[in-house]
Amino acid sequence: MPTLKTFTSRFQGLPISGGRAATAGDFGAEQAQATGELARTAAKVGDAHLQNVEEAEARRALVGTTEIRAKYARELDQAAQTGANTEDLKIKMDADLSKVGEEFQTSKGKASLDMYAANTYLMFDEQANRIEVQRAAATARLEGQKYIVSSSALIQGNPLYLPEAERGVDDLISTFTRIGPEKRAEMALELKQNLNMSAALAYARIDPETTKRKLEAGEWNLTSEQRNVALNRATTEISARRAEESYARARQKEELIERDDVARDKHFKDVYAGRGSRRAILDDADLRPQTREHLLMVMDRHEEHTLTAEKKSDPVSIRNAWTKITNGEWMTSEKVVELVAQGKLHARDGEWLTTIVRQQKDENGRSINASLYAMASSFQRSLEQDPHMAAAKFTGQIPAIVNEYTAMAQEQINAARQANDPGALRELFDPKSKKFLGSPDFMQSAVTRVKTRKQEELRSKIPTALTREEYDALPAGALYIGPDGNQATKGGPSGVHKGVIRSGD
Amino acid sequence: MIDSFVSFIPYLTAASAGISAYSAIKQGKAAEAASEYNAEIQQQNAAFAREEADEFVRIADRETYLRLGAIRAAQGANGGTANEGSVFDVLADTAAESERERQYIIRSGEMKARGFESTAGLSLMEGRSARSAGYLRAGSELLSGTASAYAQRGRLSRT
Repeated sequence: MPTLKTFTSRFQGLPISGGRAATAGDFGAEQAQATGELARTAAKVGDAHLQNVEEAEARRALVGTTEIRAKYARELDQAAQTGANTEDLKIKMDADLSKVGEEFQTSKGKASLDMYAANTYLMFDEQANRIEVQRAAATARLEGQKYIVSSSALIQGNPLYLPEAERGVDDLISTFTRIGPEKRAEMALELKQNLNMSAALAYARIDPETTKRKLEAGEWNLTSEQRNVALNRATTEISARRAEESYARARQKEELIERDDVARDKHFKDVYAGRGSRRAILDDADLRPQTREHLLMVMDRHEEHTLTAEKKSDPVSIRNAWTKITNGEWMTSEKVVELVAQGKLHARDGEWLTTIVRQQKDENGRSINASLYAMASSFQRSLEQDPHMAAAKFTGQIPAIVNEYTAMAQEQINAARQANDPGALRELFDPKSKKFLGSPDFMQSAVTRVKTRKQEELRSKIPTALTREEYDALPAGALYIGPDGNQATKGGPSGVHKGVIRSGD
Repeated sequence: MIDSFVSFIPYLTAASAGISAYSAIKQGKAAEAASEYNAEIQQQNAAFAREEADEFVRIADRETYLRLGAIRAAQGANGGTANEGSVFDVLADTAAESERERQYIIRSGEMKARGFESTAGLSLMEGRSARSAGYLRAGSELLSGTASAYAQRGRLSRT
């Protein structure tokens, strides 16, 4: 069987799409995209620049306002010390703040400046207000202190003025309207407490005990510190008064002791000198009872010792003393008392020697006192018999003259005794001596002294007429002392003074 | 010192927004143009696919004719006729097979052409979508740019 020939076609499938597909970029899409990107970038650049400007302006606002704030804080500090007006400073600060924002272009910069400026104004106002308040407070405090000083002076004189002064504080404080009510209340309280303090101190000076009780009971509006001070003042016043009383008592006691010491010493000496007496000791008001008792006991013991003791005087001392008294070397008993005090003489011997001194004799063998008495008696008799002394006898001046004579003679005797001059003492009783107490001259001097004294006494009662007016003022017949020192009678024969006294002298 | 550039920044932003919008439209149109171009090419490809299928059909017909002629010639050379017995079966079978191949070629070409036409349609749709997107982006750019410019103008102090 024949086989069919195999047939295969020579054409295969042709490629239909050999090229690539078109894209948007082939039609300018990428250029458009790039253009859009460029525009967006430009917009971003602008926005970034705007943001930079905003931040820069905000920074400048912060820095500028901070500098201004610092500057005007210093200005305000100076103003607080110098007293400058803060309103002027605020105007200047306002101008400075306006300059900061002059070139600002963004709202953020302006807003930042407004915010910082507001803070600056706030701080300025706070500081300025504080200064104003401080000034007002200082003024109020000064005025308050003035008020306190004047009111305290019144309260010191009259503590009852306190309620009126407290009302005055309220009136004063109410005038300080620039100070807050809390501060005003605080100042009023402080001023009232000061016034109360003044009143408490015034009361403490007047009546410290009562004031102390009242202070402890809470009277007066005071701080605890003021109350302590017032209490201390009252306590001090109490202590001062007690100390004063104690001092007075001590002084009184001291004076009593001093008087007691003096009296005791005197009586003690008298006892040991043999002159002491129990009556004198008992009657002496300066002696304290224990001293009086002691002296009496001493006196008893001394007498007992003097009378009963075996003790005897030193023979040499008693011999020397007797010799000197007898020779007239000792004319007083002081040396005898001294020896008795030294224990060299027994009191009994001392008393004996003292008696000898008192009975010292003159040249005629009479005791001095007896001689003086005899001379005074004869002097008195001669005066009474003298016709020239009739007026004196009538006016009772004779005894005065005799007493004057006796006193003058006693002075001479005492002077001679004190001088321990036996010669001088003897001369006083020696008729041949110029110093003889019985001489006419000595006696006449006694008469003269009495008459002179009497005349001076009378003349002191007679008025003087040294001028014409004084003379004319005298009544007729009146005694007067003229310019020449002589006594005359107005209208009498001695009216010679009329010529002597000149008008206007 | 006054910075004069600052006052122009809002205008710069507004201008950049306009340019961006224009560029977005431009991009959309470019994408549309590319899609239309591609669709056109696909349409052309579809036509080419059908022409190619027709050509393959004519080639298959020619081959069938030749193959049947060869069968008849072989039968004649062996003393037979074409209408007798087994020869006839062979010719009929060959003719049927050839026809089936012809129909296959036609169908393959049609399928290819429809694929190109479908792609062209999609490309046209893509182009229109890109154009619409371009407009939308342009609007967005204009809107955001205007807002930015307005905000920047507000950030500048009104003195």
